[in-house]
Amino acid sequence: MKDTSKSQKNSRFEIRVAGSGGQGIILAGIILAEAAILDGRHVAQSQSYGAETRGGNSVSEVILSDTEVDYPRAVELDLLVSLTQEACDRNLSDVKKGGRVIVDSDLVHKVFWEAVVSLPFRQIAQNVGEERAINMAALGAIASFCPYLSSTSLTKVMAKRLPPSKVAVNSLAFDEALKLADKLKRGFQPQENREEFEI
Amino acid sequence: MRKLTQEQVLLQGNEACVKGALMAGCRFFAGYPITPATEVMEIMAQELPKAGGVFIQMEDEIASLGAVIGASLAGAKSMTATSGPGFSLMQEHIGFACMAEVPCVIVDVMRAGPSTGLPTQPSQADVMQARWGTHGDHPIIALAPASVYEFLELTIQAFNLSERYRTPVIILVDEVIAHLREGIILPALGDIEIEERPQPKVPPEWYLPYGDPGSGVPPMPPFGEGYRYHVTGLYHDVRGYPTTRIDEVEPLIRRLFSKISKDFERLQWFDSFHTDDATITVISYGCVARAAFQAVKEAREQGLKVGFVKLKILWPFMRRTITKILANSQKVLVPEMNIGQISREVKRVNKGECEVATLNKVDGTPITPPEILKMLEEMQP
Repeated sequence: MKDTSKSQKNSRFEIRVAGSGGQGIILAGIILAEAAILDGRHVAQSQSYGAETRGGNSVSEVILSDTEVDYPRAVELDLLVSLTQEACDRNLSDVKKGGRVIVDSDLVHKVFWEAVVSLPFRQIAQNVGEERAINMAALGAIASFCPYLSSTSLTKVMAKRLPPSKVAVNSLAFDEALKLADKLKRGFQPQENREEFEI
Repeated sequence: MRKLTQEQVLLQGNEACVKGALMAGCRFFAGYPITPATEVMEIMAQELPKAGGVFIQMEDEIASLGAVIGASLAGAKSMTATSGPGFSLMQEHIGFACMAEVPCVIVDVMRAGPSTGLPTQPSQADVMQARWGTHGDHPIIALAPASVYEFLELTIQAFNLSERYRTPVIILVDEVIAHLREGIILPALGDIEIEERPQPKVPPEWYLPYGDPGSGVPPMPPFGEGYRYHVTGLYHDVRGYPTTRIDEVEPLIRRLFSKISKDFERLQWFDSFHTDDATITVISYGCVARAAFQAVKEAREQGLKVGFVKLKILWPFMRRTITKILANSQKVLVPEMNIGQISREVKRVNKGECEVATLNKVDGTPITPPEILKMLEEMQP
């Protein structure tokens, strides 16, 4: 896709979390959006899913902006998070040039993209003892790679939106993924922008 | 533009609709769940009892609107919410509400049809159904929100118009806006103007339930307060009893139309951007207006002389507004998520000076800004 308006580039940031139904994709989007509001952004959060409650393709999008969000859906993704191989294959073409792709290292094996971050979200969730925390682990990585979101706001919203008994384990998963992502990010940052990662 | 403050709350479109309804004084909801309108019903079930209202899940959409009409006659501001398949079932009672002049609000979250179509995907294809879905000549009001905040705002206005004119009001919203979550600032209750249906100033024995008090809208006391009258879908006289007299039939249908048409000037609700010097103007509504606005801004940055208009009222069609736009532009573009419904109206009121182009997308996905921008570039003279 060719360059959309340049003025937009700095203020609009498009995130899509994609996976299968039941992975908590939409909840992740809601928490992202609410945290971004705390951080002073305008947000639009949307989702699309099939008719089934488990399985099928589930997608949640969050648009962050300095100004009111015009078109509320993603056009060119700045950040794609994929929690299944199928979700990755289906959504990769929507990522803009130079955009970031984050995947689960256990569930996604093939990604043809130059800046892929592959993190073991499912493993992290299993380690903290709550398999369903995979979505919050993914949020940890988003917190690290999205410049417009603070991890403090995200944890605040998680505490509000999750059932009280599940906040602790989910925060553990979030922190663990955030730590790993930060470590990886340092590898991406300075001189070598075009570094390719073996996954 | 609204300023960001700490009071900003993240709300889904359907959630905002419920907030608006409760602010407007809605105290009765009857419905039948259907994607993508279910959240309205779900949240109403939780919130209405707290506000002292009544919620009923009915056996189907026909019964739902029937219950809503009954509750409204008893004095409660009432509403229902559905999607295409349910909206089809409601058509019969929409006609009854028009004829018996019962205020009620019907939310239709448009999903792709016909029939069960694409349950989770958006469309704008119920526009003509909202206008002509029920049989017989009848006036109708339909509003089209394009954001979460507007969904709240227009739900309040839907109740106001419905009470003011004693007519069913339809909110035609698409799945995109209904399921979208945005940060909004809730209006303070004191800042909202709430209208109530006119009440009789005479004792029950003098009351004429369908007499024209001059405004075209007869006063409407709640059932159970001593004002007894007959309600029917048949043509009726001023007392509400069936009639076939030609001097009663035509005045009734004429009054039903004129109570709304006399206020056409008041019912021109739209937003516009850069229309003054535009050679091409985009006319849009609902979620497509969001894409159109972005596309028009981007086109302006490229130096293209394009303008943007967003319709908030679809019915009655804003002829006065549209005629002005057609007169001032060389071309208009009407992007819609249907085969061409509002564009048909735009062409109808066009006196031939303006070229009307359409952009119709019917694949179950929203129209994007690049698609509109591309069209605008191609349309350049």
